[in-house]
Amino acid sequence: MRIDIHTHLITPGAVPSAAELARAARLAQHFHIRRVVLLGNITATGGRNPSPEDIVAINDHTLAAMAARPELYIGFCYLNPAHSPAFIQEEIDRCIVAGGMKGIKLWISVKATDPRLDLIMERARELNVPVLHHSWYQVTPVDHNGSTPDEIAHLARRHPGTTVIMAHLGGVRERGIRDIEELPNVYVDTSGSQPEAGMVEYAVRRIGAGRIIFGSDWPLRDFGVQLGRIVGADLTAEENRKIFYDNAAKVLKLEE
Amino acid sequence: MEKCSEGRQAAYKLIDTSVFCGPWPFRSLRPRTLPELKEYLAGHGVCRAWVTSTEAVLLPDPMTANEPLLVEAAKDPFWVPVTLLDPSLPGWEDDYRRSLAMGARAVKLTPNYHQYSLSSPAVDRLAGLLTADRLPFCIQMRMMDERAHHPLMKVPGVPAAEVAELALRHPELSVVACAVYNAELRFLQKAPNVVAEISYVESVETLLQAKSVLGVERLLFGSHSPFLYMAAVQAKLDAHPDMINEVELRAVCYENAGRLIPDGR
Ligand SMILES: [Zn+2]
Repeated sequence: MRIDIHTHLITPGAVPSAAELARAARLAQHFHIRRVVLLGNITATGGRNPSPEDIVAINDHTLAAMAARPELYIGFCYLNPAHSPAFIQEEIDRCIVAGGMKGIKLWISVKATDPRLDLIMERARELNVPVLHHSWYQVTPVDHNGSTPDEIAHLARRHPGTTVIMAHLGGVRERGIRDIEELPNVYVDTSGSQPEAGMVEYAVRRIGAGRIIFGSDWPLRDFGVQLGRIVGADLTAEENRKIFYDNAAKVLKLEE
Repeated sequence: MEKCSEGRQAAYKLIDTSVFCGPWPFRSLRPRTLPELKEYLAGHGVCRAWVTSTEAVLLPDPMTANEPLLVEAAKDPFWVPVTLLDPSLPGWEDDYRRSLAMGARAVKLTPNYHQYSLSSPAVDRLAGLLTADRLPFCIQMRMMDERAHHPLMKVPGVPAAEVAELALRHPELSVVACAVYNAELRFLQKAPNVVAEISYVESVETLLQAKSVLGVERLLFGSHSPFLYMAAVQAKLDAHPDMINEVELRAVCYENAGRLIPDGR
């Protein structure tokens, strides 16, 4: 049994297409993925620095997917920390408190070191939900305000009581794992780049299988390929189960 | 062993059209010797593998690394030795002839590591030789994700359009694009004599998408081992039977590759 902590949908606007929901459900079933965390149609709507209207549309899109396939989808509330505290609070209340979403997604609109994230992190702690944040170390130009793992570590140190999921093990690589090694409130998802051999084993050695969560970044990626980096890694059955299911179930507070 | 899914690919033997052997300074690659690599690949259902030296990409004279690999590989029909040449290097024609005499069955280029263009005259001359000898010309688009290169050694990918241009100038030549991205496949479309191995191709349903761009007759299984998890690349073959039928799957797993380089020496 598997949970995927990092997926998107790619139809623009506020309403997911029936076809993409059906395709996601078919492929998830094929690859034994029981629950899928939806981080929003963020590449299709709003771009790098979304407006409040874009944010509402993206979160409506996620809420609609959750309503259409409640047995599959777990939504995360997408936010832009550059927006007014009042709007952010309203959106968190609408999506998480009232809407049943189970986490917050931050991407590249504002750097993780920016104090405007503090309000979001504090609210996530109060609601006891994780914050999944994009992260990458790259030698090619960084897109907009993309955060590096040391900046994620900065965020996690400011908010030790908030659970942070640092996205993209395949992008943060060895240095990124070292950045967050001493920070028990930081998990890493396994998505990002090519399924580079040895990377999952490295992360398990440094931070333990208890802080690693399977994520695919579907449909920018292929579920099978992304699963393959865990299936193909030299892991014990217990480590495997933690990465594919237990850690996500714990962070998401699933009772099943 | 846990599987990605029920896995149709397990039913088929594989010809792996792109593997590397040897040390690579930017990753701690395992397995590292031909016998270890064979054991690993055979354990994943590979019956034959096209192998190139990793060291040949970075050493000043690639033959320093090609020759020992060719000697070793000649001892075992499991290997299809692929020599890595640098046609910007004086005397590369001798390297070509020597490689063939030592059993090489194809030539691979890494134009961006060796800093020449696929439109340079030497590449056309080499393409002419390969056409006459009816051997495939493999173009390694990249060795690793460009975002993850060493900061002091950033090597861009080979422009896919130049691969297509090369192939169009040599219509009788078979060109194999190795480690090509999904988004680059469309640039290869117009040159019917270019095929692609699937190690770096990835999209929502990889094989289905790649089929829609190039057609299954122009796709090869390639794992880019030992850089990537074999299980992850193999999972691409696990497409729904309604979308990729048995005949098409066999073509990708081994038939297309077997036509390019037939069994036996
Ligand atoms: Zn993502």
